[in-house]
Formats: sequence, structure tokens, C-alpha cells
Amino acid sequence: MTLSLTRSEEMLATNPAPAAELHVKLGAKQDGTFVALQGDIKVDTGCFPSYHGIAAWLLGSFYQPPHMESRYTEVFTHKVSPAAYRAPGAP
Amino acid sequence: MIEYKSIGTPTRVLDGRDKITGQIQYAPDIKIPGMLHGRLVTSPHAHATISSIDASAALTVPGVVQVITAQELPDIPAKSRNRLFLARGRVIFAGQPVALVLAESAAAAEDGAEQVWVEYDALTAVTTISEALAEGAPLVWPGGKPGASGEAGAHGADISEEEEDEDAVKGPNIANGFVMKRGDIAAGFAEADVIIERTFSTSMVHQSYLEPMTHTAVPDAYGNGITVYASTQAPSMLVNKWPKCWVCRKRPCASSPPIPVVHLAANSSSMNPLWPSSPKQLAAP
Repeated sequence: MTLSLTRSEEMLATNPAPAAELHVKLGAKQDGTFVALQGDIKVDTGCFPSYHGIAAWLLGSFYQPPHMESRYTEVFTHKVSPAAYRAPGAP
Repeated sequence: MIEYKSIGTPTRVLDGRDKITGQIQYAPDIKIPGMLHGRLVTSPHAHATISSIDASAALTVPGVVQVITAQELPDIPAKSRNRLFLARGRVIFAGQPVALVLAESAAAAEDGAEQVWVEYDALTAVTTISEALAEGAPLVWPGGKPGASGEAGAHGADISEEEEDEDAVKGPNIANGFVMKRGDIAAGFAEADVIIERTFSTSMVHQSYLEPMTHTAVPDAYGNGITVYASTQAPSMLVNKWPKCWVCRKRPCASSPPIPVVHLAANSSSMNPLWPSSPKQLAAP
């Protein structure tokens, strides 16, 4: 047997990139040195876990300020679950 | 001066000639003599209980062979999307497959799907992060949450110095979370000359694929296996997600479905490793 999704079903029922809310607070010295970085990242994971915690990991990975706090929260909603894209909001 | 072998040299797209000459076979182009065509019945509601599914009218449509609902499938814990092919008792997103109509032609399957009558009792849905986190919000998983899929980790993030606390983020409608800390964040901001604070939001984004997600399953006539033609970037994932025996939880055993041989349809998905929804076997029959 074969099952081929319609274009509408593709958009409705297969996995998109997640919606996300990102609150970022950055502290720096006058010479441009980053001294503190705080992130609060909430990802809309739809109805199944997707584990996009990599967003919080990378926040403390590319920049290495001595003081850092990164909070990740993955939130269930009544929506289709997302998949592993390159970044929240980007295909 | 360095002489490069590849940079600055024209590179032929491997499947370019076949695509522009129309010779390549996309997944929906695969036709097997006598194969059945599936059409999904999907939910119009984001959150509802299913009070009844009446397939009797659909089964009178010429060419319709069978209508499958969750009642015909083993009731296994919905740990992930792959384990909830058809909604069971309730729907939790708009577009969720509720029934599958099998017919001798694509047109008959579509006609049959229009004759499957599903009665829903619509419930309040939470569709944003703030709605889901509000006090008293309807729960997406009132009977217990499915586990995390743990798909990250292969992206090379350098986090070795941070302490990760998974217990710091918990609550209703929270799938998982953690807090990572390094140093003393309050002391860090105290020594900063400039503090910049911003909030960003991104929306759900979907790609538009060159071909639709398609799976064609062909059982061996003598029961020795099954061949799946799939528009997927990850044939090994399809094999790994294949059902285990419902009784002994092993694979294979005498009563488990045979492990499939997977053939990639020569398409955009197989030639492009960055089609993120394609590894999910959502359409695997």
C-alpha cells in the first residue's frame, strides 16, 4: 500500500520548526568584554517533546563570559510537535 | 599561492540531470501493481475527545477496502509521535490523523475519507506558550507526559564547564527543561558597565517540499519481509522505529512484523540531508 500526504496534510501534520520566546540579558565592560550572560528560552514543543535545549546550550557555548545562566523550558501546547531544524524559527 | 582542487571548480549536482530531464522517480511516482492507496481522515480540532467514528458509509464507497482507526491498532504508550499514528480517544492538535482509509485507487480513498463521520466534543486548547503556562491551563497530557526524545547532543555544543540542573524547571505542560550556570550571574551584572536586555520571539516555520511525504510498503508474497519505498533522509530510523512484538517487546520474534528493507526514493529528501521533517516516519504505513 502507499500513503502520500497532500500539501495540506504536509503543513498540518508534519513537523515544523518550533516557535520560541527568548529573553536575553547581556552585561559588558566599557571595552566590550562580556562579563555576564543570562538567557531564558522557552520553546513551544507542541504535543510531543522535541528537546530543543540545544538553543540554551549554544547560548553559553559561542560566548564564554565568566558568569552565565541559561534557562530552558520546553512547553506543551495543542499543536503539532516540531522537529530538529537548524534553529528556532529558521528552516 | 595555494591551489585548491574543489574551491572555484564547477561541481555537478549529482541528481541534477535526472531531475531536469524528468527521469528521476519521486516517491509518489512509485507504482506497484495492485497496491492500495491510503487517505487520512484528520482532526479539525486542536483539542477534543472523540465520541464516535462511523466508517459504515465509507465502506460502501466503490473501491474502498478498509477503514483503520486506533481501535484496530495495538494500544501502546504514546511516548513519541511515531507511537501515535492514529488518535486514540482524543485529539491533541488540528490535523492529527484519526482514521486511515484504504482503497483500490487514490480517488476512491479520498471519496471514502469524506464519508468517515467522526463526532468530536471540542475542548479548550492552549496554543501559545503563555496560555500553556497560565495557572489552571488545560493539560496537554493529563494522564502523564511522554518522555523526551533526546535528539540533541550531536551538535557539538561546548558546555563542559556548566552545571546542568534538570530539576529546576518543572510544572504542568512543561515537557522538560534545565538551568545551566557558570560563575555568579548577580556578581557578573554587578561588575558590568553596560547591560542590554531584549526579548525575541520566533514563529513556527514550515518548509515546502519538492515532493510530499510518501511511503509505499510492499509485503513479500511468502511472508518473508517487507520492502518500504520512503521519501526519508533516514532509512535507518525507519527500521529502528519499526514495531517490536507487542507481547515480548523484542524484535524480531515470531509474532512481530518483519523488519523492513528500506529503499530510498531517489528524490530531494534522499539527496539533501537538511529536510528536517523527512526523517520522521509519520506517513509510514
